[in-house]
Amino acid sequence: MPEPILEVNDLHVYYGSSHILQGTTFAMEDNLFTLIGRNGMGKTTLVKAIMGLVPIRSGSITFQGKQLVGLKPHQIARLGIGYVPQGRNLFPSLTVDEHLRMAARSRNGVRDWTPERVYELFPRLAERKRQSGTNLSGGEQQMLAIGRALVTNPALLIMDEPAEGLAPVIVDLLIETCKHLSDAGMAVFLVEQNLHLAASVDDTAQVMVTGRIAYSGPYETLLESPQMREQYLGVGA
Amino acid sequence: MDMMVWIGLVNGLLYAGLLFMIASGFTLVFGLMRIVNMAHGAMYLLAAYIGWLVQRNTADWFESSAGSWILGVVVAAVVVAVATVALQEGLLRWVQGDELRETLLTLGVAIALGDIMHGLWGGDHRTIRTPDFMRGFQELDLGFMGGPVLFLAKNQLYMFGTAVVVGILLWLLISRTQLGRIIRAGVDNRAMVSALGININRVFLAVMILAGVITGVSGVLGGMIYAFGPGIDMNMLTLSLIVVIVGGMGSLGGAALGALLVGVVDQLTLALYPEYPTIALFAILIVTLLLRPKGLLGRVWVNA
Repeated sequence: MPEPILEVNDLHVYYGSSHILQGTTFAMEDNLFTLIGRNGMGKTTLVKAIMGLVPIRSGSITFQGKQLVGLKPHQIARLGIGYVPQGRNLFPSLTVDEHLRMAARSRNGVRDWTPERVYELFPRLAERKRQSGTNLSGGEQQMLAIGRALVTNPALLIMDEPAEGLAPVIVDLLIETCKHLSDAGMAVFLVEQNLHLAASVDDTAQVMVTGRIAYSGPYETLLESPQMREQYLGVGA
Repeated sequence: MDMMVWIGLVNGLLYAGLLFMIASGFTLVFGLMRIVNMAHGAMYLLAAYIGWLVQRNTADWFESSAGSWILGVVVAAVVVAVATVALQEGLLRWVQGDELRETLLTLGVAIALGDIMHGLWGGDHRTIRTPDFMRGFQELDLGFMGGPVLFLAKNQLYMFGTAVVVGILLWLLISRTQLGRIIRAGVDNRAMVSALGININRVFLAVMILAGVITGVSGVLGGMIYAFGPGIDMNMLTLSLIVVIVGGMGSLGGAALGALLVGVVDQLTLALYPEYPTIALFAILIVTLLLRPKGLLGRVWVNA
């Protein structure tokens, strides 16, 4: 069996005295990984832990065989992880074009993604090059956040609830983009709250409940079983 | 208009040049690192003393009086940059993210440095000798605005010119270069910059060096025009704080605007009501904070 792209083992993270990640364990083995769960279950904390943005109490995270625990965020990003945070975190002082140019960098000589290619992927951004990143519509802001991660030429793209607050037609574009990127060989790690949206991207679900992966299996099973949905996601029929 | 008003306005404008240079380093460091560097005034005073010492000890190395002065500027810029980096790497880095400790630590350094300088160079107030090429006066005819003819000290004009050049260079750096984009992004959200693969500590270092160099240069220029000695460090710190709070912390344009306001109000009150300049300065501060708590050009910070 090939080495997993990303492997998390018995990860424990605390915020003050609250135990957020309680022994999270999983392996990401193919190009697409969708993590779902209700609010407050630890999804965002997990993503931040992978990026080195929150202190880790114990456990291990390996990316392409390299240990990430103990590395600084910029070292983790430079190993080839692109990060699209929840809420997008654009820089109000930078224009659209400046966002892409400040983040653009080749990795191991690979420069597949340039600002120009991001503009080809999202032509709407090209029309707004000179505007401040925070003057864009929600969908455009999300495209920019994704573009900003892509120009670092990552091997793995982590997106934390990118569909949050977006119009349905933009969400469709987002789903297309996820599929397109993973088909083209980039590993995509998608965190999502919406079961149906995640199910339209991937076949296999990973459900997080109170800091652990409680279910790992086909979306179909979840969609067919109201009991399981109630148990893992707390949503009725 | 009264002659004193014109004098106050012009002196205020020139003084604003120095205030802007001092405040620009302070505001850059605060904007990016959220460190209120209380040792900033001590660094200014250190630069002035170094410029003075270099000038006294190397005067016979050069034919022209400009030589030892320029050497003083260079040495002061280097020493203050090194001292600032030592402060960052030796002390601040170990309490990074704890803003109260960072501030108290720099305050401790400011007090210690102030006392060491007092011990080394005594309590007399001194000035750096103006080199010959900056001596003399320049006539300024304000008749076209209905004003008088003023004679301005050339060294003050040189200082103001330097401040304008420093301002333009900083603006180009911040708005046009990759380092500038990273600094602006870092002011908005440091953690996000790191998560894009940029070593924020190196950016901090670059900004500290930049701030140190500007402070070093302003110390020698300022020390040539305004007498310096014990207490000037805290004066300059207070002025920088007022300039930067009024202008908006972290904003370069705000530092320029704040310097202009503080400089003009300070010199105008000094010319018209010599008893009240301190009250006037704090009045500006209070009014600004009441009307615009983030400062004139300040923004809301993203916490991270």
